[in-house]
Order: sequence, then C-alpha cells, then structure tokens
Amino acid sequence: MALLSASGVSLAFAGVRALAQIDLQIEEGELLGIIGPNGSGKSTLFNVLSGIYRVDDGSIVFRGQRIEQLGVAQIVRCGIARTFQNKRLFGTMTVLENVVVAALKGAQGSALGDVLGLRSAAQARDKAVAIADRCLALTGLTQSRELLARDLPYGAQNRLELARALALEPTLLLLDEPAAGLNPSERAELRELIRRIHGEGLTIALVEHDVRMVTGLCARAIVLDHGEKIADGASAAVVRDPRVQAAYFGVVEGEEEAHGV
Amino acid sequence: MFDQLFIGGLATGCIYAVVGLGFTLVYRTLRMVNFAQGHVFMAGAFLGLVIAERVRLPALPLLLVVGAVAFALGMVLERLVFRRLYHNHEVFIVGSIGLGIVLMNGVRVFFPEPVPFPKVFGSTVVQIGTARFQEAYLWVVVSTLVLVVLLHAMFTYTRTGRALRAVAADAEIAGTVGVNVNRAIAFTFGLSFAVAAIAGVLIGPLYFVSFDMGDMVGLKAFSAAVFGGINSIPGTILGGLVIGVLENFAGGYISSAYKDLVAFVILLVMLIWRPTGLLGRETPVKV
Amino acid sequence: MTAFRISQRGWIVVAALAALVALPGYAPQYLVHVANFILIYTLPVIGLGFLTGFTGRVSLAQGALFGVGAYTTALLTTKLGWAPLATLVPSVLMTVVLAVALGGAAVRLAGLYFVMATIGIQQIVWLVLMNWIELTNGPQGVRSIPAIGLGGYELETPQRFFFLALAAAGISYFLAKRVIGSRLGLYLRALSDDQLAASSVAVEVGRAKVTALALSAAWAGAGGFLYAHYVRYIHPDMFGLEASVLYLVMSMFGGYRSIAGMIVATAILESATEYLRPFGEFRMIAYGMILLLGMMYFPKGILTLVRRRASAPATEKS
Repeated sequence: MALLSASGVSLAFAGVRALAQIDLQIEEGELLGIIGPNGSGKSTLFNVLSGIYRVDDGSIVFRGQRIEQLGVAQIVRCGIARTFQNKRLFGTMTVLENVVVAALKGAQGSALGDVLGLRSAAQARDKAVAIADRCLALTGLTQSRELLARDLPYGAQNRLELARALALEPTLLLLDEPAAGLNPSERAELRELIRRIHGEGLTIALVEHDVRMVTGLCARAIVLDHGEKIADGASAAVVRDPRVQAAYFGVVEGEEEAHGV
Repeated sequence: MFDQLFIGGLATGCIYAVVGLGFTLVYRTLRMVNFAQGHVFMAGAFLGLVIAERVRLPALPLLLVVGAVAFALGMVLERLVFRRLYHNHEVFIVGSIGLGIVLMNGVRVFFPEPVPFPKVFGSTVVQIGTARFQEAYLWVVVSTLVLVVLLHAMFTYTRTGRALRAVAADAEIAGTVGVNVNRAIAFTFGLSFAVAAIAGVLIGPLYFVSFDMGDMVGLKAFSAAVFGGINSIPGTILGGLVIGVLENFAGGYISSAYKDLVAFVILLVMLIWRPTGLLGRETPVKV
Repeated sequence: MTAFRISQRGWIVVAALAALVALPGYAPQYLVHVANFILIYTLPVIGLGFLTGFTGRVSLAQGALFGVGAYTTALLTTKLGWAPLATLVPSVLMTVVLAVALGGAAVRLAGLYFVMATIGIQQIVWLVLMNWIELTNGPQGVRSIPAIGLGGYELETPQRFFFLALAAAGISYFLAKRVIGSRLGLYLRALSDDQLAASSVAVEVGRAKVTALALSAAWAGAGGFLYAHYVRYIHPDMFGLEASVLYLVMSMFGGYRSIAGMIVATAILESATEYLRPFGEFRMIAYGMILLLGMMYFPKGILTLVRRRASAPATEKS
C-alpha cells in the first residue's frame, strides 16, 4: 500500500479550478518529483496535502488514515512536514529556537511544568534541543545557532526552513521549491543534502522549477498543468513526453514565464 | 409607544449610520479604524453651535458650512497627523484615540457644561400615526437619505468617486493607473470628517450638546459599521438604523439601564459569528 | 542560561532596587502613594504584554478585566465578609473565566477584528458594572473595602502597602519571565511571527491564543485585587475604556516584547499623569498629545530607542 494516496482531489477558488481530479500515489521511501509550469497547481497540491486548504472533492489517505479533513497541526502530528516556497521563518527568534519549536511538536502541558521548573519539563526541552542540534548539524547551520532568523543570508534561511521541517521527524517530507533563488553551487549543496536525507529513509516529495534537479534526484516524477496531472512515470521519460514539453513550451528555465502567472 | 420609539430610534440610527460611514470610508481605503471619529462628530456639533449663535444661518447653509470646514480639517489632519500613524493597527488606534482625547478636552475647556443647541430646524411638532415629534427628527432622516444618495452618486458617477473606489480596492494598482493616491486618501478623511460633523449638527437641536457626547456615539457608530459590514457602505447604514431602533425598543420595553448594551452585544456576537458583517465581503483571516 | 555576572549594568540595577525597597523610609507619603499605583498597574500591563508583545494582538478590554478582579474581591469582602487574602484566588479565577467565556471565541479573529471584539467586551462589562445595581451598587460604587491583613497586621497606610505591592510586582515579573521562557512562550512568539508557519510545526495555535488570553486576564484580575484593597473604594469609571487605553499605551510604550520596558513605561506614564494633575483639562489634553505624538514619532516604543543605543539585544532572553 502506498504511503500516501490521493484520489479525485479537486479544488476551486471562486470558480477558478486549481486542482482537477488529481490521483497521486507516493510510495514509501521514494523521492518523487512534482513539476509543472507556473500556476499549474503544484503549491496548491502541497497546501492541500498539508492541510492548509480543504479539498472540495476527493480523498487523501496517509498510512491508512484519511487526512483530507484534518487541520494543519494535526497533519503534522500524523507525520507529514513541509517547507514553504516563501520562507516562513520565525524572524524574531534565533535559529536554534526556530528548530526547537518544531522539535517540541507542539507538546502541551508545558507552561506549568516549565514555570515550576519540573524535571519532566527540563527533560522535554533537552530532548528537543538535542533533536534541533542534530538537524542544524545536518544542514550546516550549527555556527549560526544563536543568530536571529531574520539576520541570516538567503541561502542559510533556506537551510533553516529545511532544518525546521526535519526536526518534526516526519515520515513524509514535502519540499516546496527549496532551490528557488539559489546559485548553482548552493543548488549542488542542496541536491547533496536532499540525497543524504533521502538516504536515511525519509520519503520525500519535491516540487521544483529546476527540471534538471528533479531528473538528477528523482526516479519518478509527475507533471501538473492547469490543475491536472498530465504525466506520471520515470522522470527521465516524463520530461521528454511531448505533452509535457508542450505545457512548458520548452524545458529551458525562463521560458516557463511565457505560460502566464 | 411603538411608533414613538421607532421614529426616535430611526433618528438616532441615522446618526449612527452617518458617523459610522466615516469609519467605513477610512477602513475601506486604509484598513484602519479612526477612533477620533466620535469626537469629530461632537466637534461638528459645537462648531455648528458656535456658528448658529453668531450668524443667523438657515439650516441647510449651516450644514454645508460645517461640512466644508470639517472636510478641510480632515484633509489637513490626514496630512499632518494620520499619515504618520500608518505603521500598524495598534499605532493608528492609540494615535487616533489620543487625537480624540485632545479634541474632546479642547472643547471641554470652552464648554465644560452641556449646552442647548439653537432650534435651527424649527420647533413645530409633527404627527405621524400615533407618534408626535419635533420636525427636527424629519430633518435627520431626510438629510441622511440625501447624504447617502449624494455619496452614492459621487462614488458611481464622478471621477473623484471612481478614484476613491479604486484606491479602496487596491491602492497600489490605483497608483499605477494615474490616481493620486495621497490625495484620494486625504479626500477620504475629509469626507469622513464632514459626514460626522454634519451628523453632529443634525442631532444638536434634539438634545443638549456636551463635550463627552462623542464617546458613546462613536463607539456605537463603530459597532453599527462592524455589524453591517465595516467595508460596506449600505451595510453601515443598515447597521446604524437597526442598532438605533433596537436600542430604543430595548430602552422602552425592557429597561433604560441596559439600552446601551444592545450595540455592544450585537458587536461582539457579530464579530464571533460573521466578522465581515451583514453585508461585508472581505474574507477575514482566521487562525 | 543566565550566569550571575555583576556587570556595570548589574550594579545600576542593584542600586536602583535597593533605593526602591527603602523608598518608604525616605520618600514623602505622596511619592509612596504614586509608587504604589505604579506597582499595581504593572500587573495588568504585563498581562496585556502576553497578548500584545507575544501574540501580536491588541486588547482594549484590560481595564474591564482589572475591574472584574477588583469588584470580585470587593463584593466578597464587603457583602460576604470574606477575609481579603482568601479572595485572591476567586478574583483571579472569576476574571479568567469571564475573559475566556467572552473572548475565547474571539481570539481566532484577525488582529483588527480582535481589537473590535475586545472593545465590545470592555463596554459590556463596564455597562454591567454600571447598571446591575443590585449586585455592584452601580455608579455609587463599593465603599469600605477592608485592607489586607497579614496575621493581624493591617496594610492600611501607603507605606505598609508598599511592601506588598513591591512583592506582588516582583513576583508577577518573575512569573511572567518564566512563562515567556517556557515552551508556551516559545509557541506564542512563533505564532506572533508567523501563524501559518507555527501551525505547520504542530503548534496548536488556537489553544495557545486562548491560554495567552487567560494569562492576561489572570494578571489583570490579580492587579484588580490589589487595587481594590488599596484604594478601598471602587466605582465603574475606574475600569472604563480610558483605563484600557492607558494600560495598552503603557505596554506599547515599553517596546515590543520587553517586560522590563513595560514596567519602566508604566512608571513614566503614571508619574506623568500624577504630575499633570493640577492642570485640570489641560492634563487630559497633554495626555492626549503624549499618546498622539508618541505614536507618531515613537511607534516602536520609546525604550527600544534607548536599548538600541546601548546596543543591547533587541529581544529579551529568558
């Protein structure tokens, strides 16, 4: 059984169709690429999977549980984590704090314990800090531990976004255009990082504009266009599919802008 | 008694509607709430009082003069004061409250006691059905109607009106198509001041005027605007009328003590149930 | 980790604290009286800070909630004869329950709508205090509220009350810092920075906001309790919208998230209003001008300017 399986997922905003009858399987342990021109619905799909949008129609099953009606925080606790395309960091908090919040996974019953200095509270915090430090080490941010998130350079903010998602210890990780705005050497680093995380057994779905990154990393890819899935298969083959090429008017970056919004 | 309460409520409702319009106009353009609005209403009443006591103006010119002065004041204050408060909601709220306090106590220095307003709308008593009331009430309702029609005409048919609507919809885009956004905002403030001041003159002859009358009226007009939809002009008018009438009925049939509660209970319930108000359209951001 | 370094700044703080504790010894009665008010007001102001600085909400209901705490203890002691200290917990509890009942559904609203809702709450509570004469005596207020007694020692004079107020303010400060430093505090700061991102890292945003509301109400109720047993005569006008505005301004003038800043702002603003008292209406005009000019030229709080010059960190660590 697939780790995550979406069927017939549809969503419209004020009459404009954003997703139409999407069927999608994500197998455990795979690294799936999701590509498509601007406005094709890639981020919308992620928003639906992570609970930010409610579907109009269809179902999403994750590890045997239906999740399409669950809220954002609940879905996270089921084991799905995501990064955002427009980095949504906690600007006034330090790098460490950003990741610790995630590592705590919203554990409640916390205020009283912390205020009273209970040992269980201290242990919970220490555990979270340990997880956070591991994620920071993995993403190369240990030096920046005490810096404020808003003072980080762009590339580091990117990695912080990733570290924070990792600290949630998810089963499925959704990466929304993690390479946006990075220079070639940063992209190469990111590719390595994703490869390493995947190697540790994490299932990943990757939305990317950089088609070469997708073919380099992902064995399988799906293509969205105007809210529909138009291709699904081995990434190398999918990319050469004439329908996909037509949707993009060419695979070269930049020409995708011609497709509008 | 029903008719009496209804007419009375309609009149105060018109006042809430008109003052509330000021809130709505500013909110539509700036997404901010100007808490000096109630005190502008009060200041308008006193301005009308001062003029009416010195110059024997008939009603209509008095309204126009007060409206014009308030309009100018609104534009000036926007440029000098309000423009510096746009940072965020809290700053604007506290700043406008400060301005309101200055206005209120400034007037208080000259008029520490409640003062009667000259009967510029005449003092004949009119009878409709079983209700008997001063003709001033009719002036209130009719003036409100005229005001609303004029505003609607302005917004729909004049270039200025369309510019204001453009800025309210999306200031950035309006700017790129050549609308002078700063002037439009200043104009909006001028308009909001003018309507509030005119409302002050309208209500003046019906009661005494005092320096603190703007407080409650402002808050209730605000509730009316939120109730009807703070970014909807027809909604605000409707909200004002409903609150005015309901509150009068509550005062007459239940208890005068809890009359004031009506507006605020409606405010709270509306915000929890449907924050955009009865006729509002904007999607609020929840959780 | 706060290591105990005695830096230059540390010495100044120690000296100031010593001067503060010894105040009744050398200061005239009037000054002690003002100091008591400052200390009492730090409670509702810090409480408000949980909502404003750490959750990014503005509340204009704090004055009313302060009043609920004051009235609860006043009525329990004058009408039912309870001992003052026994009413502390009920006063705080009553305030919290009322705040959550009226405002719990409103915390989920976006910023400006939430402010509007708190105005509604403020006015509703004030109107009830004014008009439910059988319960609250209405505009006459509640008189002859007993002073707090500690084992027979009555805290009747400003000097005696000062130590209780100082202790209360101190406790409330440390409690607040511990809450901010707790995991809840982390969640509140996160959701204040980016609510969507916070829920994306499993923070239960709705619950955190209601908790922040409850905390702000608890601090307000405790402050009201103290206030009632100090002034010993309360009436509804003390807890109106003006009071809410005052507390809000105090919490804003101190700077975004600085509890110490809020305390300093409270001290400055309260002293200013006391100093201006002889000027009658002009006092209010001056107050209005302070609000207006303060917001126009120091929108981020006066103290953040001072801090920046001293190159201290912009946010407080626990």
